[in-house]
Amino acid sequence: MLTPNDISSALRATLDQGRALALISIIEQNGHVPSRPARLLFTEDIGVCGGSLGDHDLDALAVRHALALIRDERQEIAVADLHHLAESDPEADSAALAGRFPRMRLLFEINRPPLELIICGGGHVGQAVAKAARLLDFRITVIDDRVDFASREKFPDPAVHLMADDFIDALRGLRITPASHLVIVTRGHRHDEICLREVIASPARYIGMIGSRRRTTTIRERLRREGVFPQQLHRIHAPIGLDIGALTPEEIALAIMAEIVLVRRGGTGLPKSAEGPMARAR
Amino acid sequence: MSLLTHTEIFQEIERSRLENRKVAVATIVTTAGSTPQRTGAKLVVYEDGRMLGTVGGGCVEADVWAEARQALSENRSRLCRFTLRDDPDVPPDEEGMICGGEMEVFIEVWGGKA
Repeated sequence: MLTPNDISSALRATLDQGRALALISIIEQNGHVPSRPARLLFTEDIGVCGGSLGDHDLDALAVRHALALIRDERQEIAVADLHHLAESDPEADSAALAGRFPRMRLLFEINRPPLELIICGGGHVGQAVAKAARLLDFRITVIDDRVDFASREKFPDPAVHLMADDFIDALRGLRITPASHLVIVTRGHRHDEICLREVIASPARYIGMIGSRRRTTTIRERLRREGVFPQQLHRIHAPIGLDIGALTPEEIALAIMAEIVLVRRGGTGLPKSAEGPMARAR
Repeated sequence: MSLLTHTEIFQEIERSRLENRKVAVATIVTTAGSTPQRTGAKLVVYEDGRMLGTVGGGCVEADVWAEARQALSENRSRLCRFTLRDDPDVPPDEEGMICGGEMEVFIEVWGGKA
């Protein structure tokens, strides 16, 4: 049986590495609530990292469902009937499982690491992005090699972590994980490219770089010729942000954060009214 | 309002365990219809009635608290279903605020002897 300490240590260890941890519990068995529910801990990269639901096949089925929930970033908590799970899982012997574990319900809780935003560049856009990202509960780090820009004067919010350092040194000093989002908005395309090269092979969830279409295409083309993998080039969001006609730094920040939400949650990026009766009326 | 994280919850359970105290942890596991509550929200309830966290406030929080105390005294985890229904004779007010949702709350008792 897992102790609370086992669970909190596993949580800390996985979340620190920017990984999600699924906590799976039996909340109903034979129509009854178990007094002390059996529990299983699972992460995508390590696999089962503690506990058991008491049966090998049951654990395997639960793990496959947990993996699907972890990968679907909209999912945080779900309750599932065992027989539904088994029926919709091609790898499971659904009749056998449902027979052995009648009227069972499982609770899946997906713990995700805190979202992290690394802003390269403390100029007007960087400052506006920091404000917008706070609204969305990101942990924010700002890097600028100019001390006057990576400063409390420009970033008065004490929760913003400031690094007044060379871009490469600062990025190498940070742990970039799948919970990291990188917004590259330095004072010029030369520094933008330096930052991009440094993070392009990282496991970051999002990498966006500011710049005109022409300039960003030039950089992308140069990297391609140098042998950077196409998959790595494809995931770069450059020019950064959704097209909402943004002009001011604040509007650009909103377009960037909207794109980050889109990447995480999925969606079309279109107005919700673009389909349906209102669209025809327009 | 920031909700308690799982890490904080389990640290709290561990702290109580070291002090030989039981705690109940209530989690909103499903909601249907219109409720102000959010799935995943957690409330820790101690034997002396103190609480930590929130399941979203309102009258439901008091009901969850009462169920959690009951679970603690019986030393058994439980699953509770709540229907949030306003007086059916009263029409929704002008803001259209109605609260006719349902939710399931899993209350787990930690510590003590199973």
